Amino acid sequence: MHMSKTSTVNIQIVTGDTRPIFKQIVDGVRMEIAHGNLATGAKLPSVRGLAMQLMINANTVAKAYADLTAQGLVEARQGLGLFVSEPRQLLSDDEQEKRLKTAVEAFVNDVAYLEFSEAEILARIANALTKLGNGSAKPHEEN
Amino acid sequence: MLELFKSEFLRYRKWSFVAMGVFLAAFAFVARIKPFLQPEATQMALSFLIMVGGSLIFGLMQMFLHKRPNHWTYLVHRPVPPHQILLALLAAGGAVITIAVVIPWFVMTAGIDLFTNDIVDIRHYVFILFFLLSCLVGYLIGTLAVLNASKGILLLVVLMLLLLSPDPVTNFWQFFPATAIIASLLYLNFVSFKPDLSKHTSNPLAIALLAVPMSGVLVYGLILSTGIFYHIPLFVMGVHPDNNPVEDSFGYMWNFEEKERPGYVLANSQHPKAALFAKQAELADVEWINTYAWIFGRQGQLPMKDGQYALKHKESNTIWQFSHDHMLLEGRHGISKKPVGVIGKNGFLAALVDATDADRFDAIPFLVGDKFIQTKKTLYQVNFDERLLDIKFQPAEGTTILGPPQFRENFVALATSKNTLIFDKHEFLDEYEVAVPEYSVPHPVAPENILNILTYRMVDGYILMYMGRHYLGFHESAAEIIHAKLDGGVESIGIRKFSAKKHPAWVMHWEDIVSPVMRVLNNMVHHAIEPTETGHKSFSELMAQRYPSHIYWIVGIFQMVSAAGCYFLCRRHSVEKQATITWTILGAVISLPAFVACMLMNPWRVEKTTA
Amino acid sequence: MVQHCIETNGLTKRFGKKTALKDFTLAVERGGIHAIVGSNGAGKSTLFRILLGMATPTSGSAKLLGEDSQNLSAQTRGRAGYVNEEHTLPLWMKAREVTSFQKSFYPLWNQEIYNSVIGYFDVDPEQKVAGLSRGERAGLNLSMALAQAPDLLVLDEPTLGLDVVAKQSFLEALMFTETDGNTTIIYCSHQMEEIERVADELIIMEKGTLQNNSSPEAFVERISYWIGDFVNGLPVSDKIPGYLSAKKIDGQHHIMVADQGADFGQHLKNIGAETVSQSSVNLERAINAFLTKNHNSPDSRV
Repeated sequence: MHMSKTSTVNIQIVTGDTRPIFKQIVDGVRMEIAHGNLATGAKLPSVRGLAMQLMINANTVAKAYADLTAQGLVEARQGLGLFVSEPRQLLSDDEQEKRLKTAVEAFVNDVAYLEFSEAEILARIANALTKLGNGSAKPHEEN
Repeated sequence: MLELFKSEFLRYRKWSFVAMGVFLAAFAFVARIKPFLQPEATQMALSFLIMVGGSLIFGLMQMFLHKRPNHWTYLVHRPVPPHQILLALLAAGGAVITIAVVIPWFVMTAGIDLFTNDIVDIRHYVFILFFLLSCLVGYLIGTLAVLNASKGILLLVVLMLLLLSPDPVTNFWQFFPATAIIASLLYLNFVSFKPDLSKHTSNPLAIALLAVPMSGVLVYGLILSTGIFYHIPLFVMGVHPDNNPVEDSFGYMWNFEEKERPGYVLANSQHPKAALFAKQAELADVEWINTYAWIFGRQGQLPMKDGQYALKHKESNTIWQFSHDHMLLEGRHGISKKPVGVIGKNGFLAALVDATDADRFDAIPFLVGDKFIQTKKTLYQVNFDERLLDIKFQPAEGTTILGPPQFRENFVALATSKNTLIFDKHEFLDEYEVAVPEYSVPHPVAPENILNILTYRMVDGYILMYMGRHYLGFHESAAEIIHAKLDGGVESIGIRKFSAKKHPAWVMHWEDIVSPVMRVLNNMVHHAIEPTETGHKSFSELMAQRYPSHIYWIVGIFQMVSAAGCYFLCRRHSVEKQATITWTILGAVISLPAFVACMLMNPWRVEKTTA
Repeated sequence: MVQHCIETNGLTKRFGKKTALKDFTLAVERGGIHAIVGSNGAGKSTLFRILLGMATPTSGSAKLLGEDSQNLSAQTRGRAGYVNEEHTLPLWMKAREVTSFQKSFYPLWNQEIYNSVIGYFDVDPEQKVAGLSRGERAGLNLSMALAQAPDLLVLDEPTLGLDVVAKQSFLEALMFTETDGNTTIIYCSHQMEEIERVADELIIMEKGTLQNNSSPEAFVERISYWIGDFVNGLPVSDKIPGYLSAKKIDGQHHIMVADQGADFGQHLKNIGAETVSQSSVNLERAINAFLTKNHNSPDSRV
C-alpha cells in the first residue's frame, strides 16, 4: 500500500467561544467535508499534528476525532490513520425531519422582519445550496 | 551534595576574597602603627566585633536568602535528603569565613614570624584557630536564628562572652567550650532544617540544648526586671534607698566623705584611741588599695589575655618581650630589631642559645612599669645598665603574691595571700636592694572577702579601713579599722557590722531567686574554666550559702509556677507529649527563665484544630 | 500503582483567624493536563506548599504521588517537578552551569528532551542567569523541569509576565515535547485563553474550597445565563436557586446560575419575571460568574 499524503484541514478555532474547542473542531471538519475540501478517502492529520497546528491540547483533538468517528464522518484504518468515510445516511428519517424543521424555523425567524419578497428569499436559498453542492457529492438524495 | 557546595560557594566566592583583601589591608595598616601582634584592647575588640559579628550577619543573610518562599522550594524540593543540603550550605559558609578570616591573620602572623625578629609563639597560631572557632559560633547562631522557628535565638550571642571573657586555666578549657558550643549549634541547625520551617522544635534534646543557654541569657533580662517593678516605682515615689540612705547599711558609708568614714565606723568602738583616730582621719591623706587576686598568665595562653607587652629601656632603646615558647624575656633593639640578649630567672644572658632549662621562668610573669617582672612567688627588678636581675621582694615560703604592685602617691602597696604590704615609694622604685616593707598587715579576714581598703596616713603610721559586703560571711557586711604602727605593730581599733540592708532580701537576692539552678550552673561552668577567679564560687561554696527562709519559699513558688506555666502553654498549643514533658521539667528545674524561653520557643498564635 | 498523583482529604489550613484552605478534598487522576483556576487568596499557593511539605496542615491530609506530604522521601521529590512564575534559579551561575548543576541531581535526566525544549527558546549557555530575560529564564526552567522526566509537573502561572512569543514557545514546548512516560501536568493560570487550549480537566478553587473538578465543557454546561424583566425588582437571592451573579442592563436583569435545568426559565416567571430569555455562556464568563459569587460586587438589582 502506498503511503497517502495527509490532507490539509483548514479550520480555525476560537477561544472565548460558547462552543467548546473540540466541538469547534468537529464542526469545522464537518464543514470542510461538506464544502468538498476534504474528499472521501482523504487522510486527516494525526492527532498530534492537528494539535500542533491549532496550538491546543492533543487530547482535545483526540476527543474531536472520536466524536467524528462516532458520527461516522471519518473512519480509522488500522495503522494508517483516520480517513474521511463514504457519505451515507447517518441520521434516521425522523431525525433528519426534525433537524430540517428546526433549521427552517430558525431561518424564517431570522429573515421574517427583513423586507425581501418571498421569491427573493427562495432564490437566495437555491443559490446557496448550489454553491454548497459544487465539488462534493450531495449528502442526501431526494426521497 | 558536592554540587550544592560548589554552587553555594561560587555565590559568595568573590565576596570572601574581597573581605580577605580588605582585612589584610587593614592589618597591614595597623602593623605600621604598632607591633601587630601586641594585643591592644581596641584592636582586639574591633577584630572580634567585625569578624565575628560579620560572620553572624553572613549566616543570617545566607539563610535568609534561601528562606524566601520560592527560593526555599527551589532549595529543598529536590531528590536530596535535607541534612545533605544543609551540610553543603554550612560547608560553603564555613569555607567563605575561613578564607576571609584565617588567611589575613595567618599571613600577618607567619609574615612577622618569618621576616621579622618579633616574638611569635605557637600560641599566636593557636589563636587563629580559636578566632576561627569564634567566628563559626557567630555564623551558626546566625543560621540558626533564621532556620529555627523560635524567637530569641539571637540572644545566644551573649554566649560569646563565655568564650571571650574568662581566662581559661588550661588549653582544654580554652577550646572545649567553643567546641561544645559549635557541636550543639550544629546539632540544632540540623534539627531545625526541615521542609516546613514554621514547625517549632519538638525534639526533647534540641529543646533542652536551646532552652538552657537561652535561660542563662534570659536571667540577665529578668534581673533587669527589678527596675520595672521595684526601682523605678520607688524612684517615682521618691522613696528609693539610693536617695534615702538606709542607716546602718553597707552603702550608708558612701554618704560620708572618705575622711569622715572612719568616724562613722568607729562610732561605737570602745577603743580608747578611737576618737583620736577618727579626728586624725579627717586631716589625713587617703588612698584606695585592694587585695584582689589577679589571674596570672598561663603558658600558651591566647594573646588577647596578655598583660603588658614588654619592658622598654629608654637609654639603650631596647624592647624586652616575653616568649611563651622559650619562657624567657627576649630583647631587641628598638630600631635595628637585632637581638640584644635574653633575661632568664637567674639573670641576663648574651643570646638565646645560651639559655638552659634552669634559666627559664616557671610561670608567665606580669611585666610592670619599665623594670619589674612579677611572678606569684617573686618580684624581680631589672637593672638594664648593669644587665642584672635583682630580686625586689620575695614573700615567705607558702605565701604567694596576689597581684602587681599598686603605685600610689606616697607608697607602693603589694598584696600577698597573707598580708598587705606597704613600701616606701622612693625606696621601691629607685633602689636596687631587696625592698623591705615599712608595714605588713595580716589580712583580718580572707582576702576574697575584702572588697576594698582605704588607707589614712597617721602621725605614727597608717590606719587601714577594710570593708566588704561579705566581710564576715555571706551577705554579712562590715567595715574594720586596723592601725598599722611605724614600729611594726598591728592593732584592730574597731569593727562595725552593718545589720541593715539597703534593699529588701528578695530584691537583693533576686538574681539567685530567679533561677537558682542557672546560678549554680553558671558558677560551676566559670569555675571550671577559671578556678582561680574568686568571683565565681565552686559548688560546695554555693551550697554553704544561707538565705533568709522566706527566700526559699519564693524560689519554690516560682519553680512551681514556671512548671505549671510551661505545661499549660504547651497544652494550649497542642504541643506533642514528649516536648510538653520536657518543658514542664525545664520549668520546674530552671524556673522563670525557662518559662520565658518556653514562650519564645513556641508559637504565639494559637492555631486550634477543628473538633 | 499509584492512582492519584495528588490526593487531599479534608485538608484545612488556618493562619490564626484566617482560613486558607477549608476541608479541601481533591483527587487528581494521573495523566493529562489539569488546570487550576482561582482568584488571589483562593488557597492555591497554600495547597502547593502543603503538598510539597513546606507547610503543615491544621487538619486533614495531603499526599503527593501516593506519599504523605509531611514525609516525602528524596526519591518522590525527584519525581515531582515544580515551576512557578518567579522561575527561581541561581542568579550567579551561567545557564550552562545551572543545567549541569540540576542534571547532577536527577538520575533519569533526559538530555534529548532538554535539547528539544531549549530549542524553542533563545538562551545563551554562557550567559549568567541574572542577565536572562524572564522569558528566557522560563524556557530554561521548563527545559530542565521536563528533562527531569517527572511523573508530576506542577506549573503555577508559569507564563505570567512573558511576552507573546515567549508564551507561545512555552505552551508549545509544554504540550508537544515527546516525553517517555505519562507526565501529569497541573497548570495554574488566570488566562482563559491558555486554559481553553491546554486543559483536559478544570479545577476551580475559591476561598480555600473546591468548587469544580470536571472537564471544561462539563463545567460550562453547569452554568446558564438568563435574562428576565422583573417589573418589581429582582427577588432576594434566596428565591433564586443556584444564584451566582446578577447585573441590571437596560432595565433587564441578567442572571447567572449554576446547576439549573431548562425549566429554570419557568421558575423565573413564577417569581415575577414578565419575559424570560436565555443566552449562551463561554468558559471565561462561566468561571468568572463562579468566582464572583462570593465577592461583594455592587448589587445592581432594583
